[in-house]
Amino acid sequence: MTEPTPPPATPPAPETELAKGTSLWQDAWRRLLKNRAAMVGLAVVALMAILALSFNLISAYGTRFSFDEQHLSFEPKPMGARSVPMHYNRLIPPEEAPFEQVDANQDGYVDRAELSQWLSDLEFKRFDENGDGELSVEEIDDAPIPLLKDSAEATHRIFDTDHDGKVTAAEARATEVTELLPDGDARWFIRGHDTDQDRRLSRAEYQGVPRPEVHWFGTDELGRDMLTRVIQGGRVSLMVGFIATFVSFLIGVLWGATAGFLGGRVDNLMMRFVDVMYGLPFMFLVILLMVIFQEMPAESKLYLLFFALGAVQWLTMSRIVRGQVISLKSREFIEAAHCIGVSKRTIILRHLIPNALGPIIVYSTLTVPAVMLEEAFLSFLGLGVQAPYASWGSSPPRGRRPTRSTPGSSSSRVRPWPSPCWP
Amino acid sequence: MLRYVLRRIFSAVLVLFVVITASFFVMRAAPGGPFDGEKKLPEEIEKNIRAKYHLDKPLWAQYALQMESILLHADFGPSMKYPDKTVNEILADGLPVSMILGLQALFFALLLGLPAGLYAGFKQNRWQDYATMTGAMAGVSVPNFVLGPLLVYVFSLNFQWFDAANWNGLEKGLLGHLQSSVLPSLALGMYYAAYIARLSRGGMLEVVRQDYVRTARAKGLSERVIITRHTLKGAVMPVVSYLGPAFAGMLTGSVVIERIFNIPGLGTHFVASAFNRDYPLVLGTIVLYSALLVALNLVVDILYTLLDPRVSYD
Repeated sequence: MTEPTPPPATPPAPETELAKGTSLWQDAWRRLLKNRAAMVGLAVVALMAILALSFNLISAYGTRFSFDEQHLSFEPKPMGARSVPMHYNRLIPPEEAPFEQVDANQDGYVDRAELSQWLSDLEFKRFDENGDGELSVEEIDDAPIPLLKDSAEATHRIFDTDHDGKVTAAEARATEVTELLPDGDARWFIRGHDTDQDRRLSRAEYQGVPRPEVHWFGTDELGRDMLTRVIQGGRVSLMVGFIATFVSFLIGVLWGATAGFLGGRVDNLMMRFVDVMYGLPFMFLVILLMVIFQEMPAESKLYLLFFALGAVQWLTMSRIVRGQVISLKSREFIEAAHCIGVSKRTIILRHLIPNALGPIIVYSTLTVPAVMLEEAFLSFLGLGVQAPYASWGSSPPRGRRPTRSTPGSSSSRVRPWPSPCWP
Repeated sequence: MLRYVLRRIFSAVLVLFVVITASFFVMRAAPGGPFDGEKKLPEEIEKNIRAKYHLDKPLWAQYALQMESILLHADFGPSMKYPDKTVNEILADGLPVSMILGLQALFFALLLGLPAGLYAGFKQNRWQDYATMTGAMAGVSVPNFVLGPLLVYVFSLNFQWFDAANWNGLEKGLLGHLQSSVLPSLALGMYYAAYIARLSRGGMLEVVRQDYVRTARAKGLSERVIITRHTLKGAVMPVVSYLGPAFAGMLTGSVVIERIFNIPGLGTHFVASAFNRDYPLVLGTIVLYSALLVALNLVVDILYTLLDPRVSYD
């Protein structure tokens, strides 16, 4: 399912083929489809990309664990161990939410709608600090909900659907003031307690203990589900790979094309600069950079990582592009563009770069794994992606930790590979 | 040739200058300093310490002082974290360890990669070729920080042939040294072995199609003579030009390997000093690394002209 479907196999009539011809791209595409190794590779990459992109779905419906929830055990759990996902316990205990009260229609079962409404009313009561049955502007301001339109007044007006100046529980529910997960909580709670799989809870199920779920890949030493983390790490690794490559692509292509096109002294100067940069031990500067901005929030560090790694990789790209551009710029179509008065900028961007795209794409595809390895390398040193996020580089040292604490005598406890994320 | 070498040396100095400047200012731009501990030092003491390391002077004056002592005296000053040692002493301790590790890894990479690649190239499109190249593909794909722990698991935890995380040096004799250094060199060199195998296979394929090889065959020379006398030198050329980047990569990669195997080399010092904000030691390690890389590239380029008379730089 991951392989791209080949173009329809019906051979077109000879006349239309003559009339249409095949573009370079179609040719390239057809040859790519014929190459079996390339297709297998593409399928693997596509599979990983699909897994990474659907991470939220997988976490919610597949593994049932979120990537940063911990089930503490102070040592890694083996594959197939079970824990109760945090979501399942997220509700207040049954004595505070008696079955009779939650079961609004008194049919002996609590279903998702009832539970969600009950929770939402509970939330409403929590927001309604003075207990007058409506939310005032101040109460909305205090409540931990995202303000719409930047001010509590405006938010109040939006919630107040019948414009009587009062936000009642029903209005709040209708406009999803208490969008704060009650529905999601209800779903999780019901799934976690629903032993007979009928999507509603009998009294026994409601008061019973939640059902544990399987850690398919085991957990790390903090009890975090490895499968979820591997997929989340793949998301980070792929993101770093592609974005950093894109950064290097942008810098390299613009730099190389400008140097090649302008030529002469500018070219010489720009390429000497590249030569000097080549001599720099770039990885060390990146390490230095990452150490120094250690205390940055995890997200902004991720962006720093993209740019730092992209900035390392653009040098070769600029050389390749320059070579291409120099060989292209004396061709007739560029001369023609000059003759009709196209600006230099347009010639570079619209005529030179698109025609030099072949080698650029090839080199970019080589850059992606290189960057991913570099990111893994940094994460391995503890300098890349920061907790709670995982990446494919930050997992092996976690897997390695037990080898340090368990000497040879008890090596049977050590997993045979650094971490399950490297198959 | 001489002009070329002089120009390269000039550019090397430029590189070092850029490195020192960049790392100096990046380091100082960072939050936190070398003397930020759990407990705040008394004001007087901190003032004295800062004065001792010239940290009380304006930034440009610190920069000028640092530059002067590095360029004129090759002196990186005292370490800020290990007060009883100068940076030069720490580097002198760490450099041989890293060099030995790197050279062993390089030796291993050549020992394994070169024959495998040449053999595969000679048997092009036969099963030997495919088997070797599949292995090389795997070697290129597995990062060293995965390979390292794997090797430790198999060879030191299961078979107990080697030390898991240790560096004996030559104190325990050659055998003791090998016991602690074989696994890290293997982990460090595997990628390069695989890459060298691919390069030398490519070189071999190119050479065996040359006219002079056909002539040699036509003359009735034995295969052995053709290989050793006629093809080998040409086939090795791409590998020679790769040696510089390879050794550079090994120096970088050794940062991780030294961490995995607990080896007291430059890489360990570099990461630790960056975390500790030990400004002089960071600068020292970076400058030393850069100087090594630049010198290495120069040596390889010159070696290239000696091996291949068609290349000249004038």
